[in-house]
Formats: sequence, C-alpha cells, structure tokens
Amino acid sequence: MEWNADRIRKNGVKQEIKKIPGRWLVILLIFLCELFIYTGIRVECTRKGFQISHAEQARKQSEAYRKELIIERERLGSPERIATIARTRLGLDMPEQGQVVYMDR
Amino acid sequence: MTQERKKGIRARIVVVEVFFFSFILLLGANAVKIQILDSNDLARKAENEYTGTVRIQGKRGEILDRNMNRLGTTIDALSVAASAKKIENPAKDARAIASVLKIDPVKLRKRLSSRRSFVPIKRKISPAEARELKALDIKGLIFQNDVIRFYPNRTLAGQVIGFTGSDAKGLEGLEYGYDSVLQGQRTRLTVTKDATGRQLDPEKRLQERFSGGSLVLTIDRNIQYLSETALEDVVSRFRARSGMAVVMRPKTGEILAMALYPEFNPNAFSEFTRESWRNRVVTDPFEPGSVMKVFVAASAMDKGYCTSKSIFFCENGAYKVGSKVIHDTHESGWLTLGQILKYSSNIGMVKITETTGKQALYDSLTGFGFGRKTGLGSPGESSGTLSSPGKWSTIDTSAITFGQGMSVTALQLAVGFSAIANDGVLMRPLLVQKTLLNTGETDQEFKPQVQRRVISKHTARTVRKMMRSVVSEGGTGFSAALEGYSVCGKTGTAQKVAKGGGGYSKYLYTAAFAGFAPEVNPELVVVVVVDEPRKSHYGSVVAAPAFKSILAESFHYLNIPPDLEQEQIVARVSDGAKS
Repeated sequence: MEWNADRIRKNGVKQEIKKIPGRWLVILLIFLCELFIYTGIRVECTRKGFQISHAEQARKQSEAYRKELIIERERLGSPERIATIARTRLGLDMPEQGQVVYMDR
Repeated sequence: MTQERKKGIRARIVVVEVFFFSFILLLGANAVKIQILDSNDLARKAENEYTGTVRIQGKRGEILDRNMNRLGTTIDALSVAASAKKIENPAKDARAIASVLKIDPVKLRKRLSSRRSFVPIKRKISPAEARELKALDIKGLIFQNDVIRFYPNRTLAGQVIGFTGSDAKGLEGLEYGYDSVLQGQRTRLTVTKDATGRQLDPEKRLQERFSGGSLVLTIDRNIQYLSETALEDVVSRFRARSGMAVVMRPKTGEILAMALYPEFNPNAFSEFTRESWRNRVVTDPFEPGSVMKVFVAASAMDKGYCTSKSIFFCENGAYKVGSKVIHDTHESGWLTLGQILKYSSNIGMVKITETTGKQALYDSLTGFGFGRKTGLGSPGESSGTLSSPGKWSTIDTSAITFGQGMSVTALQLAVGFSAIANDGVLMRPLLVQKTLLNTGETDQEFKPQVQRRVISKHTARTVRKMMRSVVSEGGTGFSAALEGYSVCGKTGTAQKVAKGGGGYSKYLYTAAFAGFAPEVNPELVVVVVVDEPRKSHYGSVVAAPAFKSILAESFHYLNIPPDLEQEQIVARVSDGAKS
C-alpha cells in the first residue's frame, strides 16, 4: 500500500513537472509575441512619424512655393508688363475706334 | 540554536524592519510632498521645460483691386544677424558677408568684433542673398524669419496704396488710412517646444493665424494703368510739372482709377521725394479755372434765374468789374447760356452771377461738395478753399465764377461732375469696396451712398446737352470728342499764383478737362489736371486729348459700345445649344 501511494505521488510530481514547461512556454511565447508586436508597432510609429514629418515639410514647401507663384503671377500679369510685351515683342498697339469688337451684352 | 543566538537574529530582524519601515515612510512622505504639496510648482517647472512664450506679429493683410488682383501683399523673407562671440575670424567673415549683402565691411567688422551675443546685420534680405550667405558656412550667423511688404505692380497706384515702414505700420496712403484693418494682431503666445528647444507650432503658421484683414478697392488696375500711361504721355509731351486723373462711375461713386504722374514706387519709397508720396488727387487743392462754369450754369438754371436759351451780352471780350477788367479768349456779343459754356466766356459767367447773387453762387458750389471733404476715407484729404460769401469782394465773386480765387481737389471735381452725369444726385465717392477678414470672409461692405440731390433731373440733362456742345465742332473741348460716343465735357485753364506771391503768374497755369460719356446714360466720368504745362497751357490742348485717350481705352476695356450711330462690330457669345 505504502509503495503504491509513493508511486502515485511520484507520478503526480512527474505530471506537474511535465505540465509546468508547457504553460511557461505558452506564457513565454505570448510575451515574445507581445514584444515583437510592440517593437513592430513602435518601429511603424516612428516610420509614420518620419513620413508625417516629411509630408509636413513638403506641404510647407509647397505652400511657400504656391505663395511665390501667386506673387510671380501678379508681377507677370501686371498691365505695364503685358503692354510692354505687346508693344515691343508683338508689335501691337492700342486699337483705333473702328478696330474694336464689342461683345453683345 | 541557542536562545542568545535567536535573540540576536530577532534584534537584527527588528533593525531591518525599522530601517525598511523608515525608508518606506520617507518615500511615502516624499511622495506626498511631490504629489500634493509641491505639485503646482513642479508642474510649472515641467511646463517651462517644454513650453515657451513667443511674441507674434500677425502678417499684414492684402490690398486688392476690384478684380481681386493683388496691389499690396506681404511676402516671407529672412533677416540675418550674428552671434559675434561665435564668429571665428571677424575680419575675414565681415568681408565675405559684406560682399554678399553689399554693405560696408569695415563697419561690419567693428560690430562683429564686439563679442556681443546678438549683432543684427541686415533685415529683409533677398532669397538669393540668403542662399549665398548659407553657402559661406560661417559659424555664428543667425537667420530669422521676417516679412516684406511687396507691391507687385510696382508704381501702379503707388500714391493711392501708400507704403509701410520697417515695423509694418502704414505710413502713407491706404496703408496708413486703413492701418487698423490691415495690421496683423500683436500677441504673446505660449508655444510647445521639443527637446532641442524648437517650437512645435512654427512661427510662420502663427503669423498666418493672426494676420490682418484685407482691403478690396474699387480701383481697376487696367483702367489705372491706362490713366497713368495717358498722364505720363501728356506730362512728358508738354513738359509739365505733374499730372493727375480720376476715373469714376457716376451712378455708384466708385473710383476706377486715381492716377498721378510723376510716378512713385512704394517698394522703394525712400528713393523718392516726400512730395511724390502724397495722393495729390485728394490732398492738393488747385484753382480749377473754367471747369467750374458748369456748376455755376447748372445752379443758375436749377434755381430758375435763367434757361439754356437765356441770352447775356458778353461785352465783346472786355468787361470792367470794380477796378479790374475781365477778358474773354474769344470776343463775343450776345450769347445764350449754352454758348457761354461752349465758348467758355468769363464775362458771360460774371453776368449770370450778377443775376443770381453771390449767396446763390456759394450755395450751389457747396451743394456740389466744394469747400468740404468728400469723405473718401483717404488720409490727408483737403476740403479745398471756398471762403464764405460775406468775405467776397465784387472781383472775388466774378473770379470764382470762372474757377479762380477758390481751390478744389481733383476728386471734388470728379464728384461734382458725377452729380451732373447722375441726373443731379451727388454720390459719396468710394475707393474701398469692402474689407475682408483674414479667413477671406467679408467683414464690412461699403455700398454706393447717395449724399443729396443737388439739381433736378431736368436741369442735369440740360447741362449735359450744353456740355455736349463744348465737345462738338467749334467748342473749346473739341479735341476731347470721341468718334461714335456723345462726349460731354468742359475745359479749364487757370492761372497759378506767382511763386513768392504778388498776384497771378503770367507763365504758370493749370490745364484741366472734366467730362463724361455717353450723354444719355453716362458710364464714366474722367477728370484730367495737368500742372504747369510748358508748350501750351490751354486745357483744350493739354488735358482734353489725355481725357479722350483715357475715356476711349476705358470704354474699349469695359466693352461699352458707341452710343452714336456708326458702323461697329458686335460679337455675340453663342451657347452652342441654341444655335
């Protein structure tokens, strides 16, 4: 009887020993997965942060360029410049009365 | 284990317990101190680490013409300074910097040798200069964001727009008059900084957020250009001192152009004399000459003293008033009121005023807005001079009938002629159509405003007919006649007061022409004033052709077809579906 009881206790301990690494392995795996996911997310976050920063920089540059273009358009479209080009490069002149076409209003 | 040994262990355990308990108590107390007692102070200290206060000056708003073209705007620029302490070789670096910025290298070297932590070098440098300076790679150079007020059309409407000083405050023209609208907000803000101390919300964006409002003018930059070109031509052709022109819509009082010559470039205002900064159309009164006859004739008819067919004897060209003799350019006998205007008879005008009396003359002139400010809102506006009739001598009264002994501004003339063109209704002149918020929404809109009726509709139409005869063959203003259009106008030639006093000069004149077209439904009023022309001094010779040029080109641009019967090409825009 005593021998049996001792054997049963030993088997139980063996089973527990067998159970413990499996559970720990799962926890370890979960932990590792979490670590990888966390690292991945952090890396992705940093990458996105850089992308946002680049996009913001590009937006600022585009905005500044747009403003420059607006000013340039105003300068290029000034009546003085257009009249000078029309006279000097295209050989045009202000129309006489009979040369004007009126749009029907 | 002996009893003593057990006691020793217990004692040690107690000591360790006490130590840990004290330690935990201390930690707890410290936590209470940090979390509760010092929390506000510590939070403030922490905040100071990642926030900072900056002074923000919002960008100045824009000035736009009626078609939303920019006449004045603010552009980003850089200012350069140096931390003199960090400059390694002041002599060499000063030479390099000075050659890029075209400044005195000796003065710069002295300043860079001062070892101060901040030495301003030059404000508002060009992008090319900034690039060249950065390429020099000099340690200690500091680049700061700045702004420049820029006028892309250069001299166009320079005196009307005005300019700002280095502190972005308006100093002349509309920039000064509407400074409170255009000026960006000045504020102090708490901004978040990163670990290196850089602001997370960039200053430029904050400047945009606190930028000022914009002005939308009634000016049309194309008509403004046409007027300035015509003025430049007439001033240089007649070697005049200066010239000014106003183009106005009589029905609304909107000013489409306010031109002055010599021109002025607000981008480089310091290179011009102070004299050329002023918008003389509103600030400088002058004796207008015969253009005033129109108002005298209009009020005499309106008050029933005479009709267009009433006749007056014009004394064959010479008429004694008090101790002075008044002369006419053309000797005439009996003339109708219409003919008096057509031939611009001074004597005829004196005769009319002898009928009406000086109080009626004064009332009519003030009714048309002379002697008062027009309320345009442009800074430094003059009311002109028109003294009370009690102070007028007989010769004063006579002189005022033909525009001498009083003074008006070119704007007042344009407003007065607009009243005749607008069937007798005087409109308040409009230069600013609306103001915009920095979001682009309308803040304030200025609608056309009727001031008062000055003459009846019937009188206004009769006066227009009489003015039409001035521009017809034989009239003094025939050179302003425009093929296909019924042009109404009046010439003016006024002697100027001699420099140094002592009466009128025999050599200095003001030549003017004011009028409108078409006769029945006037679209534009144009006033041209040329100061001290030399080759000829008559309004009909000097100012009338410039008037014609401005009117013709403005009509072409605005697509206003001729009102008189003549062959014209009219194009229709087809929508395709109905054709």
